[in-house]
Amino acid sequence: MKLDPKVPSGPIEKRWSQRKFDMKLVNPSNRRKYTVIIVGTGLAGSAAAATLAEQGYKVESFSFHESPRRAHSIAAQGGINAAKNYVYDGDSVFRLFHDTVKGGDYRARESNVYRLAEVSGNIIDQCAAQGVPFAREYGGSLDTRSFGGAQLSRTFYARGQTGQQLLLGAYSALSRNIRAGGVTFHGRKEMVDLVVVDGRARGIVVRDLVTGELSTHLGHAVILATGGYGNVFYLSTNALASNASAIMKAWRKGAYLANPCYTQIHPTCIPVAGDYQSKLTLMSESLRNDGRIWVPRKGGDARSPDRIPEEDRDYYLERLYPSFGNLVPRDVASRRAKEMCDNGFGVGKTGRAVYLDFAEAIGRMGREEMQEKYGNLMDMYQEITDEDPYKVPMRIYPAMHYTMGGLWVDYQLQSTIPGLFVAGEANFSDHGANRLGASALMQGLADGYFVLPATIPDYLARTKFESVKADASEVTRVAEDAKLGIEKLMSVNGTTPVDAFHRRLGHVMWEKVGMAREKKDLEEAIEEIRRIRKDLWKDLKVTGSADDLNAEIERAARVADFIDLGELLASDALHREESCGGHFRVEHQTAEGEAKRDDEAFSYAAAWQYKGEGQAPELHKDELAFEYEIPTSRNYK
Amino acid sequence: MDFKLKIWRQRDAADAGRFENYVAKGISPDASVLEMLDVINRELVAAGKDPIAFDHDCREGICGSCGLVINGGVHGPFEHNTTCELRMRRFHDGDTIVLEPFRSRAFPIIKDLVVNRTALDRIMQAGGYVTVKTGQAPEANAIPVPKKIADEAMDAAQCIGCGACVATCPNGSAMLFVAAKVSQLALLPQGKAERKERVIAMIRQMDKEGFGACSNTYACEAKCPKGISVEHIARLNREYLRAGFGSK
Amino acid sequence: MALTGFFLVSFLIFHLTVNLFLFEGTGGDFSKFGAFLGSFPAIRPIEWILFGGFILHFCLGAYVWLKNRRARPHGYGVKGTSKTIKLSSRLSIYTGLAILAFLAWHLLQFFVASRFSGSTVNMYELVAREFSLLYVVALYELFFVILGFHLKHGFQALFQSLGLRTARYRGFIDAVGVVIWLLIPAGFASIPLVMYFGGAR
Repeated sequence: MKLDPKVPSGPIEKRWSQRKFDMKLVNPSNRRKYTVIIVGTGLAGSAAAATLAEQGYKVESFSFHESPRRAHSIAAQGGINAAKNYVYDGDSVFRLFHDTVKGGDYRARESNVYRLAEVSGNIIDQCAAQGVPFAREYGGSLDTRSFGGAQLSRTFYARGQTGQQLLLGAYSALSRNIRAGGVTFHGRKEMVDLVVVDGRARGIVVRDLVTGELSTHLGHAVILATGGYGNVFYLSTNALASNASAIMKAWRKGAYLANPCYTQIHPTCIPVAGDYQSKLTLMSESLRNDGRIWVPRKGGDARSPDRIPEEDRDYYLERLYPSFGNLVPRDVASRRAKEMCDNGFGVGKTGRAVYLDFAEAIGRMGREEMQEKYGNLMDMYQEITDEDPYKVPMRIYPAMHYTMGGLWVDYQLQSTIPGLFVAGEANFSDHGANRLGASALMQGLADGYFVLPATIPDYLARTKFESVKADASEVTRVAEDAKLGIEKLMSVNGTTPVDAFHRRLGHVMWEKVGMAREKKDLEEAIEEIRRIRKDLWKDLKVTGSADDLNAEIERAARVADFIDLGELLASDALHREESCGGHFRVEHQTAEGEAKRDDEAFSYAAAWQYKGEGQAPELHKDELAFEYEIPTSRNYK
Repeated sequence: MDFKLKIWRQRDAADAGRFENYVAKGISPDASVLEMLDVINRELVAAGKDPIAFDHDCREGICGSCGLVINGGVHGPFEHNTTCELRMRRFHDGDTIVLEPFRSRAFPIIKDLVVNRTALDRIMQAGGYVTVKTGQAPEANAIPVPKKIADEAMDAAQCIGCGACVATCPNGSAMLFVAAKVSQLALLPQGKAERKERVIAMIRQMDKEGFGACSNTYACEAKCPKGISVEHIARLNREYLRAGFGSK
Repeated sequence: MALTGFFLVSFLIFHLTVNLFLFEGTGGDFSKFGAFLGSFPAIRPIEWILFGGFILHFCLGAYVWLKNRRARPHGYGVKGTSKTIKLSSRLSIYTGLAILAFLAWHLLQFFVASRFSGSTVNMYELVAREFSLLYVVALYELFFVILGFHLKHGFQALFQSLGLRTARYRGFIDAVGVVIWLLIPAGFASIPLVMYFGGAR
């Protein structure tokens, strides 16, 4: 099948309006005859559910959480970008578009990115109207700050809890529509498979996490807004339950998965301290605005940081990138930190950390203003590490954070399965090979509030739907297969708890498919992942029963999917013989250690098609055309 | 560090439930209470036993999923933290630690330490929003919000919906939870149009769910992980009276 | 609760003001005032309103207490969740009940004696007689401690419930609160002490 991205033509600034005009509409009185199933209640899922219900469609919303508000969007700290140009520092839709395409290392689709920049302002308007308490200037207008990868101030924020406030805004809109009857919310229900009838996505099978009961829900379109797959690395900044199962089920049903190797390592996280650790905590990137990153000039310098005089410190980002300094994009900051530690300049007990120092900022603006700006982050750091960051510099190290890859979607956010739409981090669309800070919230809400509510009706209006019966064999078979899948996990009856397999997988992924990738390592990684899969199906031990709340069985199913995804991710990384954004191949770098792209050979999104158990997936290329942005090598010097 | 643990086990809502004893050995002082539970669960699974069920997700104090009563203190014996943020270094080696679920008529137990907190969602559905459809929003800077008001609204809006206020309140009241939302939206100009209906609807739903009434003990403020002030409850009361007396 | 509480606090202030005339000694304004009140035509309705206030306050308190008990049918294994609560708040229902019990006695002692004894009673002498007994004085002193405790919770709670205890007024209300819960009971408490130790003049 040839991939058709359905990108509109014409001048880029007209494309989205033209497409909206070209879209078919559904008569208001017919809308309630259509059911849209939405999996996930993060920014994208909640926003889409609320908006589609407002338009009059019947929405069924699902989450494995009890409450929609627990979705992991809640944890985003720093902010949300929008091309409002409130500061008058030269921002524009075109500039945000430019920054995003460049930040993504020229691996994103221009039309999508432009649309994202175009609706960014509406998002801020919408959220402010919902009562999101954005930070304000004394005069009452919205305040902004700057973020990595941009030379201007376009990031809107609500203290260090922007994701929380935006999600609660979307959750409030969702709640209102639940009350009004437009949305039915199903909590503690995890999607275990996708129902495809006559080649169209028509529903899902979910498992009730309290009773273990499987049920089938049918509709006319399915939206997956199930987030990213960072937990394939075991330790990441993701919440513990964040998983890739929904997108992997869709993948096995025929949706292509694109660019899985584009993973983002966040440069400013609290370093790993021990084996017990269940997750890594991120310290918002906004800290790089006022913090300076450094390591001692002498490797293994055992002096406490405040005893190391200025001349013995290496502010390596400021040295290497004088114009962007500490605000270089995430991939660059992360890789440089790793390099410093690899070369023996790392600090702390493990030597896998660099300093993020606020002494200068505190001197400049005083402790009070520091507290006002970053208080909760400082407290969080102290709580976790037992060190006072107002007095000693923070120790930070990169950690797995965000996944740019995801299910392949066209301009309509539709996957290769008609009727299956994908939004937010779960799709691959807008960030290319690297996402800029404060752009994830923007994309999730753009997809949910503004894109899907335009493209879903078009799909519904254009499609002639056959009625699907719940007892049709192609429907019941899906639930039966899901049941067998769970029984299979329960019946391995080995000796090793699922956590051990997840750890093993994570270790391989981090060491060999992490920040710097090499052919030999990747090949080994694939071998090892296959071994982990074999071991899992031979030796997995799941206790308890499948008929009640059982975190072990949930986890086992998720880890089994992570293993398959891990292999795909490593294969994608192996195939991509270039360095771009979050994907750094050791073989492809400049003399100065910067990423070296190969636009001749790799200017495409790699969409992988599932070909069956044990078969190699097939690669489809979604060629990227750059009409407005001329790919150059990113230069943050 | 080593600890003796007494943990509430309850198969399902119908089960009577009981405390069971466990031992945790070699726990890192930097581990959180939940990470200690992870360790115990790994051992339970290895021994073929049913692991302890508990709610958790982000493990950084923002999602509001986790919540245990630890040694009689909601989210532990200290202030302004969630259960996932509580590190074992705050205890002494050899301590006995008692873990219980949140208790409230409105929060029925699902299993072990997991409770059903959907009552809070239903309160939000009753009125915790501004009615503005997607696409209706005016330009964000068209409605100025003084910094002081925005900051105060943000203080209230920080609520993570964990239910600690309910669990710690001697009356099992959800007043602080309701107050946080009512106060946030009453402060902001965007929320003013519906302030009357909102406060009445939310209070009515709170009563319907079986939460207790506020008797001004301020237990909630002391244990709120985000330190949300009872001044917001005062504002809620004022909003409620104002709505009751019909003035705008 | 708040409105009846406010009413009762007002009454307490009035009651104390009248009582302080006791210090003038026998034949002072206290007895005159007593006689005036006794003959004041509106006194009966006022009495009823006052009774009503007490009863309503008690009923509301009992209702809230019962409702709140129902809100947590299963308590905690380790009792500690109320550690963060001020003792006065935690005990307010019990101090309230103690006050109710005391009130019955207090009314029997003075109110019934003066109103239903048939003859005109010199209030001052009645009071002086009662407060010459050590156990009466001791019980009254205990009562005023309890009353102070009840007010300590009640006074600020009243403003909280009326939505007036905002960031701006919180400090002021709490300061006035101290005056109320400390000075009112102290004022009352001084009377039996002085009368016992100073003897009736």
